[in-house]
Amino acid sequence: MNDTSPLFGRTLRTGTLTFTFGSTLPHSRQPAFGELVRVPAGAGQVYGVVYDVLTQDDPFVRQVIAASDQLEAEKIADMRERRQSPVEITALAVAYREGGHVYQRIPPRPPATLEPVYGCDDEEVREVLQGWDSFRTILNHAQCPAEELLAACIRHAARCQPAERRRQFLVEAGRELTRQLSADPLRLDAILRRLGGDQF
Amino acid sequence: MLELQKLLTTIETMSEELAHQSRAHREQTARAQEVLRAFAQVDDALLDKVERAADLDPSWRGARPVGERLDEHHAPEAPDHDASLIAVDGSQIYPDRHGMALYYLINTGGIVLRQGTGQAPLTFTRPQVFFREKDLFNEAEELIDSQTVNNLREMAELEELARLVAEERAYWQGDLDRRVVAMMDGPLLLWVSEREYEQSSHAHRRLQEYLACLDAIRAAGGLLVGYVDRPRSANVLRLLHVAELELMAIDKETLRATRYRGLSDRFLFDWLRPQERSALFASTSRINRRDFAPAGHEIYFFYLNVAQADGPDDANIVRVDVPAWVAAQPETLDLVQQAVYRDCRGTGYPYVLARAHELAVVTQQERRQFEQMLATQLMRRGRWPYTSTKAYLKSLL
Repeated sequence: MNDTSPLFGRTLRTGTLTFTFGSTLPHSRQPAFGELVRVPAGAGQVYGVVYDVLTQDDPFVRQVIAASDQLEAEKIADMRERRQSPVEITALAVAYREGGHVYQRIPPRPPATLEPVYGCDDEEVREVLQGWDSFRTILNHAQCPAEELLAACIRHAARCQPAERRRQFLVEAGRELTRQLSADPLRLDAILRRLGGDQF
Repeated sequence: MLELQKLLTTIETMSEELAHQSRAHREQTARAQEVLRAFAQVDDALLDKVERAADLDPSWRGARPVGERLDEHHAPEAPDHDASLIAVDGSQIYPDRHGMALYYLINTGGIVLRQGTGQAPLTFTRPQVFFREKDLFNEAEELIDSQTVNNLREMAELEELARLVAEERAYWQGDLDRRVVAMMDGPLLLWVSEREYEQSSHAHRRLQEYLACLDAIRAAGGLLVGYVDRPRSANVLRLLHVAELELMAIDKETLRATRYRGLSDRFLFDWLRPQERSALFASTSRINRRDFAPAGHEIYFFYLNVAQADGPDDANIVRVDVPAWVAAQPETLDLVQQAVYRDCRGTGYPYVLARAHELAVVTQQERRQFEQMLATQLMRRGRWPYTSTKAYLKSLL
């Protein structure tokens, strides 16, 4: 856990299973789908996996878009970075930290509103996602594209491993998926296909 | 409660009369356009008539032509230059004697958009709350009225604009080649009633402060613009009426007997093509002649078609006010014309003004939140916040 981690935004709405935060960061610095984020909750921390990024519109944006062929770069930057219509990012709570220990379970209580939401460094990702208990939390969540999210989360965790361990990490994740989804080969296949390729 | 069924007949009558009026206005406009062409050449005889009208009736709000032709129309030929566009707007909460506390609030919002840099614009808001007795009561110990708050807001806007222009000039390290266009929403001429002017020292102070801000903007090389959307002014139509009169026939009575009553100049200029401006005129209003002109800030105006599509039905004619020192150089006037037109592209209204308004506006929800925070703090200090019975009952409806 690093206090110099990037601040992505602040919580707008929170619940036991998910929390939504507003971000005014430029598009390129927003957390990616499947990325792990951290938010303080009481004396501990709640960890979530980003699964929805929603950019709101309003009548003014629609009016400006009508002139899209003539839109100047400064106005695009203004719309994206300055206007009070933050991007809403929702994360699925998969773990929490309490008393120095990380638990891969639904947190006992959600974060409050306006709490800062930070990114996690590689070490923190490795610590929080070690073991595979969060797989089940993601697979069981009905409101998110679970197969896509789990594959993105595993790829994110793999990127946070030392280079020489990445391939082994993916193999171990695949084995664990095979064990957990032994009764659902179609779903297993969908996830494994999304883990393939050199660009994880 | 508005019982709409009781208004059905009125709505029918109203729509019929408005449609009739609209047809009549079209005919009057066509005639006014003929007169504009007939008296297009500006000569001494026309200027003498304007002078006589303004002298005989100082309240006559006509137009003095600045150029050589009334039917001039001009679109800049030089390519667009990038400029810094600055806009400021303001909003307010008026003092409410039925509220939990007497106060008023002025919120100014501003934006600095640097064309050609690709950077996100700079934006800011500046809320100010006034709650002390010296701020709330006038010389007669009466609670200040909404017009006074409007005046204070207007001054706050112009002061912010002057500050931003100076900062922007400093950002470009004093480089005068970088044009800085400072935009206000509305006319540039300050509104001061004659009664106020004659009786109130406040009015004189306000006027001096306003002119000092114009001095500051000019000194920092700012190009000041007042943008008037859907103008209802009829200064040029009054000029046409005067043009048709014999010099010696001009008196207070004939000045008022205009055949163009109910029309606006913007219809007179609906033939302007996109990006074209009309001829330049000076407002003949008393405050312009008496106060602004001697201070070096006589206000000129022109009409501009900010539409993208060609044709009278698509024309979007707006009025643009500029001080004489902005209009003095044709290339500067062209730059202002281009900057305004460019910023209206797609939105039909300057983007920076729309954003300044968005930054400045205080919504009802924000007002409620502010008053809830105030109520909490009052309770902590042992004062129970309560509104008047009338306000309370209204809140239940």
